[in-house]
Amino acid sequence: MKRIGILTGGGDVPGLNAAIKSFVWRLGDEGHEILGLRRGWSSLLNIIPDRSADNSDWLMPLNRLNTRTIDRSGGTILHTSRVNLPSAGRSRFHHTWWAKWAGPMSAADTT
Amino acid sequence: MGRPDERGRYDLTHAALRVLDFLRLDALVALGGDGTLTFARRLHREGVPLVAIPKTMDNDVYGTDYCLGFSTAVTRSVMFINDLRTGAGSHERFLVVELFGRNSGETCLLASYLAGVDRAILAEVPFDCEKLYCMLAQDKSENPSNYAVVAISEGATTIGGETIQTGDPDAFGNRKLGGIGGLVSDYLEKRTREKVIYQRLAYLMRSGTPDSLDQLVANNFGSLAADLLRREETARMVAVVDGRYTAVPIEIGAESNKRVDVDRFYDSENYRPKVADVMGMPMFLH
Repeated sequence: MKRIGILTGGGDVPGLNAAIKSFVWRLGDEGHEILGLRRGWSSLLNIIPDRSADNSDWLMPLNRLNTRTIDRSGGTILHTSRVNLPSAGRSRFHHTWWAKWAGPMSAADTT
Repeated sequence: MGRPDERGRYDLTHAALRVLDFLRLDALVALGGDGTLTFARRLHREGVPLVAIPKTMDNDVYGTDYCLGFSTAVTRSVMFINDLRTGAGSHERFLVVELFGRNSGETCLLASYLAGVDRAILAEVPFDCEKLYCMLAQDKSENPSNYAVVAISEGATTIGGETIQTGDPDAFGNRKLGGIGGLVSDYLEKRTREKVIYQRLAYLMRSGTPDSLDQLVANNFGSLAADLLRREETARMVAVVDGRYTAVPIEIGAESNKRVDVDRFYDSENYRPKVADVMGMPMFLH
């Protein structure tokens, strides 16, 4: 059994939910675990890598039941974002677990 | 401790890798367009097993004939352009319709072709406002209902001019495009001293439910991605190539950009789609 993550990024288009559903139904048949990462790459910035943390706002386990009807609508049930992780402004992560990593604000942060 | 680059930006790839490790994922599936898939390729190079599903209403991801969302965007654009004809016809006005598509004229070209607009202005070919006005004036006078329609890419530019951009740059350094239709509309109003109907289709193009083609491709891309993972085949992007479902190396998207083949499908002199002699052409004409 495998544990697979899935996310949607960038602008939403009609059909994302249908793709998510068919992926889940096709793979879920074999008992794999599918974990939806919410709000695109932003999830990887906001999920706290600590077992005791509550990451439920950023994770959505997907199964046949909770994807049964999603293909009937547009948008993306996983939500999406436009964040560029290799080149992120401080405002993108100052509220996250990684704020400390960047240290105190410097002059460059305000430009 | 992380340090910002000269633009005050931080590389947080290590944070993504740490979180992926924390989540104990065996593989990751990313549905996205150019921006999303660029970072997917970065993670792939860092050793993350990835499968990509291309989606963008602009159909501009290199390596696949088709991206999820394109058909619905074109279908909706054609519908709205034709709906707007009633107002333009009743009032006997020019109609300027601006379409999303960033720097790619693909959606504009296809929608223009299918809606049968009088003139189309693509992001790829700078245009002349006066020349466009003259053509539209003639189109209008030749139309029994006395109106004329021009569709224009949000990324279009006048000859020697620049794209119209507003707001602050987003995460990828892109500012919001759009407003070029307003410039054309103002020009036509000044020239004719008559009102012009100017409509930006914008988010309406990508809203709502998928049409049949997008639903079909979505279902098949989703199950194709599942099949790849079942076979432990990662570092792939699901794709349509030469009309067939397949999987291509995830790195292919980095090789090039996908743009309208202007010479082949666009009449740059007359500002019109030029689709003829389709024998042997791919289904989506590029």
